[in-house]
Amino acid sequence: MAEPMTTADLERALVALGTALEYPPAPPMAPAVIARLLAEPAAARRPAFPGLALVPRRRVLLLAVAGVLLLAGTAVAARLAIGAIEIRVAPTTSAPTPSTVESGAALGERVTLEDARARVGFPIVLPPGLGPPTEVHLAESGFGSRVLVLVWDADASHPRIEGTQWGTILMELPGGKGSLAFKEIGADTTLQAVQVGSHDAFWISGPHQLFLLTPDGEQVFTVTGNVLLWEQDGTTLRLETALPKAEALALAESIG
Amino acid sequence: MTDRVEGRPLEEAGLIELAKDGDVQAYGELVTRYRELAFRTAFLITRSAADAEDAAQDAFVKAYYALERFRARDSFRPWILRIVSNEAKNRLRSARRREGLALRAAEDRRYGDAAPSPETAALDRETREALLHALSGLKENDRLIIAYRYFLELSEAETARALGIRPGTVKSRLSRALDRLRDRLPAEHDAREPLEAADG
Repeated sequence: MAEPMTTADLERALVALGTALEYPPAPPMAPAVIARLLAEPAAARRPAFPGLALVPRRRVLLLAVAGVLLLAGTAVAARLAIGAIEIRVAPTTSAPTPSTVESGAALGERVTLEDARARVGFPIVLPPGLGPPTEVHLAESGFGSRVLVLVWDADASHPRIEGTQWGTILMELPGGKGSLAFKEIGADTTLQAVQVGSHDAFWISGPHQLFLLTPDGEQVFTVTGNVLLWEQDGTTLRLETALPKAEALALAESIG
Repeated sequence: MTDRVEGRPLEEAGLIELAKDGDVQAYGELVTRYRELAFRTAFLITRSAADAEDAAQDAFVKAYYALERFRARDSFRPWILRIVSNEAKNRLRSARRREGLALRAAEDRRYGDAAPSPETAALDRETREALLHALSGLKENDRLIIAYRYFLELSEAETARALGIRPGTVKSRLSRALDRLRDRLPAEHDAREPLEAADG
C-alpha cells in the first residue's frame, strides 16, 4: 500500500478489521442485573435491602450464581428478603427431590383458629372477604418460631390452586427472627417488585420451590400457584392463589 | 397462572412492555439478548474487560429505570447502546490513563480458514496493525462513530440515535473521523518502515 488509502479503501479495511477484532468473552449479565433490580427499587423508596445495593457488581453476579449451591449450605446468597422469607435468584432452577405439594399433613399440625391465636405469638390477620379458614395449621419452624398456615376451599371467585385442594393459602410468619423460609426461583419464574398498599412486595408467578426451615432441617414444597409476599406490622405474609396479579393484590390489600 | 405464553419466545416489544410493568425477568431476557453488543461497545471504549462488564451492567440497570422514556416505535439497540457508551465513557474518565491498547485483531489463523471472508483475506496484517494503532490515537467520539458503523455495523439512523446526534450529521462526522484516522496512518507502511504496533 504505497499510496494513501482512499475513503472507500479505508471503509473496506475497517469492515475487514471489524470482522477480525478479538473481544474478551462477554460475561453473563442477566442474573446480576436482575438481582440488582430486585434489590434497588425498594432501596430507592426506603432502605429495605441496603446490603445488596452496596455489593460490588461482580460480586453480585457471583452470589447470584452461587444461589444454586445454596441448598447444600455452602455459600451465601444474593439475599432478597421480605420479612422472614428470602428469595434466592438462581440462573437455573435446581429442583431438589423429593418435594411435596403443600396440602394436608404437609402443612403442619392442624389446630383451631383460637389455638393458633394463643400459640403463634403474633397477631393473626385474615382476609375479611374469605370467611373463616377451612383449616388452620401450625408448623414448627427453626428458631423456635411457629408458622401459621391458613387454607380456604376453592370457590367460584377463588379457583383451585393446581395440585392442591385449596383456593387460597395464606402463610403468616413472625418477623424479626431472621429467615424462616426461602424461595428459590429460576428462569421459568416471573418475579416482580410490586406494592401491597404501602408495603414492598414481590409477585412470584410460575412454579418454584418453597423451603421452610424446620427444627429438623428444611421442608421443601413445590409451589404451583401465584404468590404474593409482603410484610406488614412485623408479620411476613405469603398469599398463594390461582388468581391473576391484580385480583391477588386486591385480596392482599384487604388483609388488615 | 402466568402472563407468559409458554413455548414461544416473546417479541422484543413484548419484553419491553413487560419490563415497563416491572417484570424483571422479562428485562433479564432483553439483557441476555443485548449483553454481547453492550459488552463489546463498552470494551471498545474502555478497552478493559472488567470495566466493560461493570459499565454494561450499570447501563442495563440504569436503562431499566429509564424504560418509561423509551418510545415503542424506536429501536432498542441504539437506545441501550447510548446508555452503555455513556457509562463506559464515565468509567474511562475516572480510570487512570491506560497503558497501551488492548484492542487487537485475530492473528493470521483466520487466513488459514478454509473460506476466509473476502474482506478479511483482503486485509493484510500490516494494515490491520496500522489501523488499530491509528484508532488508538483517535478521540473517543471519533473512535466510537467508526466502531458503530464498521465494527458493530449499526445503520446511520441507529448510529445517530446511539450517539445522540441528528441523523443528518452522521455522514459528516464520520467523514471527519475517517480523515483524522487516515492522518494517523503512516503514508506508506511496508517492509522498509516497520510499525511499532506490529507484534505488540
